[in-house]
Amino acid sequence: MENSLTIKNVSKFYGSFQALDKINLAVPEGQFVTLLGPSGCGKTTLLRIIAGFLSCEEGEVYFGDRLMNDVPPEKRDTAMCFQSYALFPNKSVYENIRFGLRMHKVPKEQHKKLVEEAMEMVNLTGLGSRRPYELSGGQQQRVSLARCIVVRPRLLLFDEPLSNLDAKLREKVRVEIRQVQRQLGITAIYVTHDQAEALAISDRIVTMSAGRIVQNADPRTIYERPNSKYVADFIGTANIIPCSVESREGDRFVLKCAYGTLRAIDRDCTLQPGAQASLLIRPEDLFLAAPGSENAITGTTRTVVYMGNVLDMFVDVNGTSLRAGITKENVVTENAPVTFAVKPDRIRILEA
Amino acid sequence: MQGNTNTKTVPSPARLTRKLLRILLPAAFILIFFAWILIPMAYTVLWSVTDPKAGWAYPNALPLGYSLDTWEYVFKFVKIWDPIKNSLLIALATTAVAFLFSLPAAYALGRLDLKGKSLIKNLILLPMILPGMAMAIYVGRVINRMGLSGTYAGVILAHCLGGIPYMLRVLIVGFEVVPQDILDAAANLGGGPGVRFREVYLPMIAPSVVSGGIFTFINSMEEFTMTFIIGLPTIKTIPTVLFSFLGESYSATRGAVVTLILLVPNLILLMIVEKCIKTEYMGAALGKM
Repeated sequence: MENSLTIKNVSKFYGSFQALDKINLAVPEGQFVTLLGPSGCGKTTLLRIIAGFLSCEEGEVYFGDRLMNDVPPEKRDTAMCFQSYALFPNKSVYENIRFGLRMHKVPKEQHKKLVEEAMEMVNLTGLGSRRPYELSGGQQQRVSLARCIVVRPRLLLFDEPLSNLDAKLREKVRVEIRQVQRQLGITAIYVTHDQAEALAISDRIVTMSAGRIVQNADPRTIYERPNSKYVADFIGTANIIPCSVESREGDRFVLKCAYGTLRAIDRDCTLQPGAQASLLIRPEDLFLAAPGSENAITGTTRTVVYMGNVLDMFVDVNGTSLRAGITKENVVTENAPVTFAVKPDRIRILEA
Repeated sequence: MQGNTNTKTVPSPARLTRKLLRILLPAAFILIFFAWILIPMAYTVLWSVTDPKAGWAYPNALPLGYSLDTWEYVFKFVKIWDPIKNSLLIALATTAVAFLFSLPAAYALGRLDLKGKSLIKNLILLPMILPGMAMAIYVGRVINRMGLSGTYAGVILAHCLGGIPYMLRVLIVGFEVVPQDILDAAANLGGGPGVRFREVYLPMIAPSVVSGGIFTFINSMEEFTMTFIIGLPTIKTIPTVLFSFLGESYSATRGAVVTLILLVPNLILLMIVEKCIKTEYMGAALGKM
């Protein structure tokens, strides 16, 4: 399939500060790609370069096979949902959504039908005559989404669109965004610092740090097979501790660490015996087991928090902390001995 | 503090006093404020309807006789309609010229990255700081050199000098507070620079335009020194007529009538504007952030 967006060696400087360092990225048509990272990692800068609000000192941005570097934003055929919604305050909801149709010179007699379709798609039917300030945050972001999709842009851009909404609403609007994007098949680039949001909404997650792409993969790979300590730590909760590789047979490893000696199966690991490494165990991959079973880790519970869906606990294992999340049926008391086990293929070996 | 355990039921005297003060002090301020404005106003109205033959002097609290003779005199013999027309015309033109001059300047100072921006912003306030007479004398010379003394153009130019600092200042702020996101949204939906100006900037700076316009208009309506030095004797405005009644040919009754005439358009303007500037605009401009 053709790539909707190709970014080649893009670098951006703010004075002497390098915001982006030779970014390369290709986005196939119809995909939902999330740029994920902490604030200051360059994700918003990259999005603004794609939209044309910023220029880049080095590198090229292509839409399809057309070089876009010198094309002003109004000629790029993108549409962005902003964190601040950025609705036109003096225009009604209807006029806000119609704006793009007027700019794209769509024949007037089609406006009403197209606007109403877009409003229906984002559940805003009947609110056309309202002014933006008469709407709630969630409704305003829906107007913003409708305003974008009504012009069927080449690229749909999102700049942390849900950050100003409360948690419940965030999940709801997130599902709506994804539905609409799928329904229309528009390629979407979505910027967020919220890893849970990224996992839930994306076809691919581009994890960024300090102006570089660290890992670009689908959500499952990003979560289960992170390529670095940085990604493992940034996404989800994780136990990451130093270990050494004792022996190796194909993809089977024996590791020595503060939790004891553990067997691991990791087909991506290239380390040889004697190497220093880090190992990753997700809290939910630990389960209660009898002492002496394979990959048993024994320790003493320090805190046990009932979270509703899981028991979230911190366990002291020979002076090293271990976080475990086990199903709620189990009863575990604080300051009691406890033994967990983890399946070998659930341990990931990362470079130290 | 030991005896204060009952404060919930019986307020201590200190607390009562404080409570009273909280009501009385604002009330007093409001009273003084109203007196400050309303008493001179009432006197002006009374003077304007005082029968000039009967007069009004100490120790009488009220005029000795009432008539509309002065009003009749002012409208019949002073030809007040010409100065009224002049004043309105000059004020309107001044507002328009000041606006057209200030709009691009305010855009540049409010939105662009310019070197020495803050210095320029302060320099444009100079006409507000300098004494009016000093300004008028020098501006008068310049306008005389330009051959515009005694012409509308000259008076309007001079009035602009008083109005532009206000206009420019509020327009700069107006431009500054337009959120970049909204401009970006307009751009990426296909709106070029012209559309962004018409559909984003203009509606959002409208409140600033209105308030800058009022300032400039009223400033021009009440401008005396500039008109006196540049316009007289060909161009008379309401303030120059007023000053003639308060100066050489002193007449408190005629002065009062002219004062009220000067006041009326300004009051009407303020009331119209009050209706026009809806609070929703301000809320809209800032959004629900």
